[in-house]
Amino acid sequence: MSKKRILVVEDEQELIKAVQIRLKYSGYEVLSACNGREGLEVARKEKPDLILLDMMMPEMDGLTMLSRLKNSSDIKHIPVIMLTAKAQSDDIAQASKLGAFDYVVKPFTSQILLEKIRKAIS
Amino acid sequence: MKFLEEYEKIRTFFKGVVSEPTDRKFDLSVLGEIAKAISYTSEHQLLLKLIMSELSKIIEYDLCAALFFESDTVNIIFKPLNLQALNYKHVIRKSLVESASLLTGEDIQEKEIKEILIPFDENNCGTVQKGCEELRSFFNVPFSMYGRIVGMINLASCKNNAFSEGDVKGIYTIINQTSNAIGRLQKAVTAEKTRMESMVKSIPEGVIMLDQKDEVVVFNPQARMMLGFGLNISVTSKVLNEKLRLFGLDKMFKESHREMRSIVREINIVQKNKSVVFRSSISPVKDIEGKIIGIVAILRDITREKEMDRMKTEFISIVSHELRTPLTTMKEFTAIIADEIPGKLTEGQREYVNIIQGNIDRLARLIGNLLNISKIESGTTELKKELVDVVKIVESVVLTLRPGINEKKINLRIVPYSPQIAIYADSDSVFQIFTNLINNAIKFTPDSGEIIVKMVDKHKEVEFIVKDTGIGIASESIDKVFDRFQQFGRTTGSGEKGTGLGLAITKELIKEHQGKIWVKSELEEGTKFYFLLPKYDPKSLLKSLLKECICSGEDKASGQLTKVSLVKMSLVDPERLRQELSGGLLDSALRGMEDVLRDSLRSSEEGDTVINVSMGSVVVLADCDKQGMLKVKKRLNSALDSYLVRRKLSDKIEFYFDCLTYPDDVQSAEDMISKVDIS
Repeated sequence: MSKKRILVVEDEQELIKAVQIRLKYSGYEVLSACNGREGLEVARKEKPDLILLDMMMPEMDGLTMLSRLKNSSDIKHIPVIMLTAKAQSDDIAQASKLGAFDYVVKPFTSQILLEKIRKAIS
Repeated sequence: MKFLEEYEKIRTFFKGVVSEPTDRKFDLSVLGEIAKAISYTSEHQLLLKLIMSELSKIIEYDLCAALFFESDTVNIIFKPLNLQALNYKHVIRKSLVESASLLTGEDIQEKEIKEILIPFDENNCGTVQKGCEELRSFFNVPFSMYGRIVGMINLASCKNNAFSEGDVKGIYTIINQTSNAIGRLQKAVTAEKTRMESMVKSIPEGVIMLDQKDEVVVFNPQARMMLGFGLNISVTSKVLNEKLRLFGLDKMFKESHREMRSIVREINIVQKNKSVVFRSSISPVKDIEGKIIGIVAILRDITREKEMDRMKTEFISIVSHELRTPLTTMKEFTAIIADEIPGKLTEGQREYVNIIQGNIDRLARLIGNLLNISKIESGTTELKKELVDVVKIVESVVLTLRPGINEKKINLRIVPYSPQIAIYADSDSVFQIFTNLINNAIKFTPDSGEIIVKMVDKHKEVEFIVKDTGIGIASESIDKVFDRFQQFGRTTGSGEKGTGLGLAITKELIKEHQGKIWVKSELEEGTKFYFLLPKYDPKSLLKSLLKECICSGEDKASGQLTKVSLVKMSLVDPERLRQELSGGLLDSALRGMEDVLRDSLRSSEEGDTVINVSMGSVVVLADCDKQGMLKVKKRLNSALDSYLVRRKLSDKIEFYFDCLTYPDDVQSAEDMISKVDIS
């Protein structure tokens, strides 16, 4: 069975690196993009199994990318887990309305992140 | 104090007059009367009238007249002691006007002359003169104030040589000293008034004072600016009152008057396209006897304070978010090292990484709490108040804190007065309140200690007590426990370190629920935190909700009556259902139906609430008239139908609706509640 591929869309390069190390160690293949616009491009080209999507990013934010993704028939099936620094905010409600699978509040622990990833692509 | 001094001077003077032998006629009682009058009025006209009638007691005259200047008019008061005397009114008038013109150098004839006649009492007209055919004697005495002639008094009689020189001299003295006294009083009053006015002018707050008839008494420049009047525009009472109405201040004035107490409120107004916030304190003004004689409003512009407050909250919130991002990266890399992904750790490295992780988590909690408190303060926390079982919440809190409790071998007991206790609250907040308090108790209780969470039925509220056998709080610190960043004592054991915000948040959350919290503690003995939360009582909840809807509607200046509708859903034949369905199934169906009602309310607009009552639910629709209510009812009906079909209960459970609309069907909130059967 081939490795599951996860796309991390996040503007903090160092955080991408940390998540990358953790996910690779846990047996996933990792792709990355640093804003929503780039994230959509990579998603269309690579069709990953899951997307980790940051809310606040320059150029195109997470919610905009999410709504575009869910409106594109070729990639709308990909589950999305939102990464957010705002717990219990309207953004989370908005994201779940738009069709996000789940969310993780920063700063998160690897266990929680991995658990949610497993749930999303089981 | 000024007035008392003046009064004393007058008294001394009158005593002097009486002691002179020529003036023996002027007995003390007359002078006393005049002196007394001066102490409460400084109006010339009133005093003159009084002097004229007092004089009739000591000097025989037929007609007394007094001319005095009042701004641009000339007044002449006549006091006849018999009917015939009135025939000579015009003669006296002519004499007074001529003399006064001569003395002042002004042509008084040219001016408007107002005559004031004091009618005489026929039964008690003193010395009645019979056959008063002509005036045989009269004299004029001028009186002055600060050396300026302000009037003239005349006494006339039908008798020959009716008046002695002493009479003339006495009257001259009385009238002039009275005038001087009035002058001094007026000056004192004016000085007092000027002092008050300049004080009121110089304070930064806007001051408005109205008397009982809504006439303006005080209206300082600051108040003018605040209410949007220019400094040079004259503002009549009518215009000011209209403005007050516009800003909703008139209602506060009335409330303050009615309840005889001060009211402090913030009002938002838009002025020149700018939103302005005033804190207005409105108080009744009382006289010495406690009678309300007016209302005073102090307005303070707190727009800037509000803005600073908002900026502070926003700042905290932004900073907290910005802090979380680097923290996430730190946390993740530390976890990678701790998990030995890059390579094995030595014993020492493992210890240090653990310390770093502990501190990252502490920083994360601190940021979380800062965010929480700024959110509560800015009023952006939305409490989703609903029926919650507080016993269940406490149990789940204890479950999450179980590791710490077990580690310290603490004996924790929950002592509820009933297996289920319903309160009306936001469950997340209640969870947080108990987490903070129990967590604190664990932290400060030594190993093998005891923590008791007790619940006491207090009629309309539930009292909660979180008691520990910990180290206690020193009495000098007890007042500060709810302040921010106040940490007392050292935590025992290894548990996580506090952020100094837990109790501050707890207090705010309890306050948001109209509850209160207090603490009792004994060093080395332990601490007891007490707090109250409102019980879930469908009837009083419904009452307060309805009252709120109805009152907030009436506040709107539109003058239109607000409409509130109420839909009650009940199950058909609940007794049979109880027998046919298992308790669990019936309960879960009821809760499910309630959720359906909640979900299908008009986009959950503000004020719409679902209250569950036994065997049914009541839906309060704020600002909803009969027509709107019927539409909502239809929607609720079909939503419930499809829910029951989905749960395969449609053949067992039937329901019906009762509907009421205020003010169509009922007169008041109480009326509405009495018509809805809530048990």
